[in-house]
Amino acid sequence: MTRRRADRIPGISGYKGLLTVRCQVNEKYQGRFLVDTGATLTVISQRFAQEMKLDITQPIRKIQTASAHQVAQTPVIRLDSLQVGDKKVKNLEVLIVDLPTALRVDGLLGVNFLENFRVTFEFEQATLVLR
Amino acid sequence: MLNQSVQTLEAIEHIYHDQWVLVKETEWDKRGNPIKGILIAHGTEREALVQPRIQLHEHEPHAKSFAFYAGDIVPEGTVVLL
Repeated sequence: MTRRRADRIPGISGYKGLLTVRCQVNEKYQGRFLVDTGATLTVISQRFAQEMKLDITQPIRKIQTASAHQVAQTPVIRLDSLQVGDKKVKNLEVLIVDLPTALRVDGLLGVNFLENFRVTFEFEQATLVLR
Repeated sequence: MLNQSVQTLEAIEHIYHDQWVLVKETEWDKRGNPIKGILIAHGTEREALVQPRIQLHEHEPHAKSFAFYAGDIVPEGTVVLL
């Protein structure tokens, strides 16, 4: 059996245990994303998408998203790559969402990224481990 | 651009506490994490970074930039429901 090397990604622990990690999008744009195992798809904010000049007027598709407080049609686009630590996923679909201003991150790291790895949370050390 | 001097990210976080900051990365640790950079923009609203970041990458297409909030991810007392 092959053992995959663990990459320990130091994060920042927020109020009430929220964990954020630094993510690199399309090789040169970095931001902090909230790790969210409840998000089916990874999310990036509209502002972050605007900065990268991603064309959200021509999405791959629009999907209906349901959060705790609303249902909406949300554009889905494809990133060339998203990297966390030394773990990179290419051609990753992401939702473009206007995140609440009280949430001071540029995205949510969702299941379609995390599912590529064996994931462990070390909340006390504010660390995400990807194998 | 505000300040052309290279500073550690730690120093930038300290100076611009509770603000959004945009940094052009200039130095990384052996794992590729940025440790130093040049402050490009800062402000209390995320919006303050958008145009400076677009301009940075227009002028320097190969630059790496890092935008982040230098403070708590959510205000204390706020519960996040996603």
